[in-house]
Amino acid sequence: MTATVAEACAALEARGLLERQKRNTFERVEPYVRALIGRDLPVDLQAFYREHIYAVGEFQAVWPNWNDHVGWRSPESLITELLHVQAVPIMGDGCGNLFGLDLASGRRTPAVYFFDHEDGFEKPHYAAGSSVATFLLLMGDHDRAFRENWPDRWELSIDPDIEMCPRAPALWFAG
Amino acid sequence: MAYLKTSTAAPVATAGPRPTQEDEMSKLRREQAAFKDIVREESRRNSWMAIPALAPMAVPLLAEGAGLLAGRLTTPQLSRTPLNLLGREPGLAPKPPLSVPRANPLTTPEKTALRDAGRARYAQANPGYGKAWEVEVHHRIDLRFAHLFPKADPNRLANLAALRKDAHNVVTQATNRFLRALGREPSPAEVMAHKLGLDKLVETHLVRAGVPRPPPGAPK
Repeated sequence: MTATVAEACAALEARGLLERQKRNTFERVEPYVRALIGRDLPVDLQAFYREHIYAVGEFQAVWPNWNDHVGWRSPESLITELLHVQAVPIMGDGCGNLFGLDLASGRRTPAVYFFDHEDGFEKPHYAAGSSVATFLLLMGDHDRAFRENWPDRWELSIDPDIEMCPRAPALWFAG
Repeated sequence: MAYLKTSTAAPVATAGPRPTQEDEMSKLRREQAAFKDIVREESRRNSWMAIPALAPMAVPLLAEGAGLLAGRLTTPQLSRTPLNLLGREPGLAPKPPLSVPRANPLTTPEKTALRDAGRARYAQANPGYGKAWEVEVHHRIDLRFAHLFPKADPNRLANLAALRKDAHNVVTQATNRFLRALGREPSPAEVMAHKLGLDKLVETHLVRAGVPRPPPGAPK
């Protein structure tokens, strides 16, 4: 599975699973995030911001809120919340937990991990996608898989590499 | 004067000589010795009566003696362990753990499934709930404590609430501080007390169906 972020977004949008922000503020967001994390953004993260995603299914994207009159309205912690574990949040799960893009590996297409708010986001608990593109595709089917009780490890049919993420195991191997 | 004559007459002589003082003393001693023999024999015969008579006094004496003996034997052990007075004061004694059957804490896959189910149940019970609310579903008793309440459904509606992200962060940080201060796994009662305190803290931040939200841009 070598889909790019743009291809994944197009596929999800065609299925009615992806909503975009009303305004594309990528030109502002990219330097803002780069300044906050103090390094160049991975290619996948740039592609994610370029798609100005609002939500995939019921999962909302983490997107700094810009206002032309007052500037940035969202707190900086929105982006830096996972910096102590070398990650950038890109999506929430609706219960306070975050899916963060790995910054530690230095790969062009780093993996996405789940961080639990109950332990203060202190470590990645499981791999949510081996890349941003596959992660978005998995999130698009997540609620449907739960509703229809899909078999365990259905994620492997979309993301065969999810068990090879370096920082955390796949969900079914997480204790 | 007849009476004067009578009183002055000589005494009538007795049969034998009058006994001396030594004779009387020796007779007395013989009688005393005989009496002692009789007393000793009576005491010997009635000695069994001492057992029921002395038993009430003997019981505490025996107990005290046993305690002293035990104390003497355990002195080396006591001197090795630190002195603990808290356990001897009823008001300060640590409370025994409640006899609640405890399972293991939830695993990550179990928590993930419960969160999915919790969001679905909250949406079902609150028409209109969705992304536009920009809230997070909060478990009033965290899923990390769910194993302390094995008979309670973590996704019961009373345990679910919608909070904005900043309020949810405050709640999570308060719970983490509570756990750090405690330094051990909390008891169900401690978790419940903490939860009641948090409920007061976030009461004004709860987002409910049918209750208008503050307009965008309003101070939080």
